[in-house]
Amino acid sequence: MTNRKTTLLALLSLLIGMVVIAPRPADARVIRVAEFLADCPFSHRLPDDPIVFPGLPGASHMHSFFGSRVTNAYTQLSDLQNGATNCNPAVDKSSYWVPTLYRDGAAVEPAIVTFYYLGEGVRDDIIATTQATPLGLRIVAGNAKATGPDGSSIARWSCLHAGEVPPSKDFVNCPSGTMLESYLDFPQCWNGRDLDSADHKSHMAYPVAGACPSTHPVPVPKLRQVIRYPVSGDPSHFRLASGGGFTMHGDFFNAWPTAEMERRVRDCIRPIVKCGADGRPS
Amino acid sequence: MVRVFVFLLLSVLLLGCSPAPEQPKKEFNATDVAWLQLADALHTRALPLLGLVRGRSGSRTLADLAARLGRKHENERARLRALLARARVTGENPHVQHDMPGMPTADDLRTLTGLRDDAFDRRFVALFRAYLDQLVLVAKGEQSSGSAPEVRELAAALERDHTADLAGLERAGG
Repeated sequence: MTNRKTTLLALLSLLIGMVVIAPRPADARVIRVAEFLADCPFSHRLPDDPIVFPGLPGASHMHSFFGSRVTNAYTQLSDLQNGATNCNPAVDKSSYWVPTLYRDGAAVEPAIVTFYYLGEGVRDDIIATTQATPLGLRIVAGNAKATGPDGSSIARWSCLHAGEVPPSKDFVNCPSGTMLESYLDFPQCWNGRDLDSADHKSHMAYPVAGACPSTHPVPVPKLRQVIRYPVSGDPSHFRLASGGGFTMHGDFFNAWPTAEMERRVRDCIRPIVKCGADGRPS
Repeated sequence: MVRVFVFLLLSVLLLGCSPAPEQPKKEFNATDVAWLQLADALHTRALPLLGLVRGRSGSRTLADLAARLGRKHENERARLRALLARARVTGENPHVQHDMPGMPTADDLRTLTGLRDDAFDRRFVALFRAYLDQLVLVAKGEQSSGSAPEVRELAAALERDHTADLAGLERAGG
């Protein structure tokens, strides 16, 4: 009896396993992606950083700001909530910024700037428990202090419409007619307590083996910053305000209205549905 | 041998158990901490610049000024670090490894090392002026946005001192 039960259980688990891991039929062509996004173009440039150097105008290297039109050294959450934005959707009052890119000493601003909010990075059953990014959360991702294209830098450079150029931690040489692009994924595991931390990083963590670590147990949408610059060619002409390409980093100050963020997490992220800027299935 | 082993084991245990950095004390706001760290990093990066003047400058006045500024800036850095300790900000200063506005870069130092006399003096004065200008700028920010009175007072004192240093630099280098 016990043996038969065991055999039955084993068969059952095998069957369940097959269903779970069975590839989807090729003809269905359903790609399940947990995603919503905000397109926020260049807004303004200032040598300010309200996360790293709050209250100290001019203390920072030059930053290019996206989204909120009002961000400066003094910016608080209420300033973002009451200020204008250039994001699509306009409900996203968040501020996003990166070190300014220079070509031969002249500032170059991006042509396309998209912030994706993604479920990926953790297992599907954990994606289903994703929490809304808390209002007022501040994160610095990437390593402004990187001294070379080593393990300490997370940002990647590649070419839009030139996939044959391998991505790199430093600037790449993009063929004429294509655009230099930068990808940066922010950490998506929150400690559930702090909206910021002394180093502006340690309240957040990257997932380990598809799950959030016990120190940072709360999964929130992963912010993926994708920036396309209208430049190509010899990378020796480029530098960032913070140094080489490997010093690329991004700052995020969340000012999405709570209800808008929660709706998107409920309708797009947890059920693994691809949504557009309006937070509806696209 | 056993004693060495026990010592090593204890060191590993102690190091492994060192507590996570504490949150800064409440009376110090984010601007206080950011300014103390940035001013400390600026000082740290400027000291090697001052160290290059002796033997390269063509001006005795400038060499004397640099020697005096070197001692003064060591002293200022100690005051900044004492306040960082009071604010319970420990660990490596995040801005020291990073080229921030006002800091001489490694390239600047290399170039300067190869220069002599007037060429050295011109380049040195330009770099040190940029450094002092930046210190004055961020000291103003601390005075208007900082919270802890002792930090704001130090910022006011440094702003006065560095404004005077700028004038001294113009006299010596001009």
